[in-house]
Amino acid sequence: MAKWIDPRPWVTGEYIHQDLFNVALRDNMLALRQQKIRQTADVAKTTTTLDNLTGLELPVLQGEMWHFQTFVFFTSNATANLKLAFKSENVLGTATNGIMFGRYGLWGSGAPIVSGHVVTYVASPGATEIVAITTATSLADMCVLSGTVLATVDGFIQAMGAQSTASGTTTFRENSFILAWRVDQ
Amino acid sequence: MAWTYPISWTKGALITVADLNTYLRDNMKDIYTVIAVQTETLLKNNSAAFSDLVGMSFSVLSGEVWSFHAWSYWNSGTTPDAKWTVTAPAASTGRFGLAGGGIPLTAGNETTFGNSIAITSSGSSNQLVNLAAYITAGANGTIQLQAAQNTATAADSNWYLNSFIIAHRVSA
Repeated sequence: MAKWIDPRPWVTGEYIHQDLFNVALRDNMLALRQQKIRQTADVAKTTTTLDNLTGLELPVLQGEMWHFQTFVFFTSNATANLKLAFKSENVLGTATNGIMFGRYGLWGSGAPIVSGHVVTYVASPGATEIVAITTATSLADMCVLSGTVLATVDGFIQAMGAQSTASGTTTFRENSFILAWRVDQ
Repeated sequence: MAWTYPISWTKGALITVADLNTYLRDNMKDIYTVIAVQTETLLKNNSAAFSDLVGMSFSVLSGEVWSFHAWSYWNSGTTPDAKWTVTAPAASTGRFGLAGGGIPLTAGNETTFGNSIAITSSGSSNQLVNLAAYITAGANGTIQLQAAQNTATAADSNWYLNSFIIAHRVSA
């Protein structure tokens, strides 16, 4: 029910039928829906173990498809580089396999390490479910995670980050954010 | 102001003021989006002073929270490279940054609006960067993108018209 239909003109004296409201207001409002989600705290990492990026969690309801872009502000170094992933969670926040499908990828100032995009969302991202990128500098930087996700049950995808190689400190900054738009279905 | 899943309207149901405020007014406020286009090319030669990217801006009210992403088409040499900034009303908070084909110079993201974020240029080819920001406005005013050469160099650097910005109001 997220298919856009150009609203028809309202006519003087017309009976406002519920179907008109459902198509012109409810369905179009659903088609236009956006989500804007902010990372609420810095996450500092000195290891290669993925941790949640606090607050960067996109809710997706059963049957919905979303396109999203995640703008990640970070500081790392040329040894540690950077890796990111999404894990899939059910509506209770429990990491769960086989409920979210799609593809996501990463781009920024560096080159991909291992993989620049992956095709699945899993409960515990491993080597084949992460995206990583080189960082040539210790200066503050930004990268972008883009993707699509389709949910078979209500749940979430949670952004996670870590160092690609343990070295120094890599910090994923507060106010990184997700913008997400409903795919016209 | 927050998004609420729209109800299904039913035959004979009274359309209340509260319904219209929640499912029409508030939801429309939530999905409010500004799309603005750069209306003229900015040419810089031997200048590291920021100038407005004309049209790459939007108005905000004090206390509003906005996020934006912008796409800037540019061309600069390897000596001047390029820098951008985001100016915002006084006391605004948040963070802005850029990603592109080059390496950050001095900083690729910033929390102080008006400070520069710079990137190396690959040379004379036309290039593209993606800028993004999450901002809480400290006062009424304008969010404005600006650009300049990172190192003043006697050569042309251009930031081209038809670059664009897409801004989403997070809360009002």
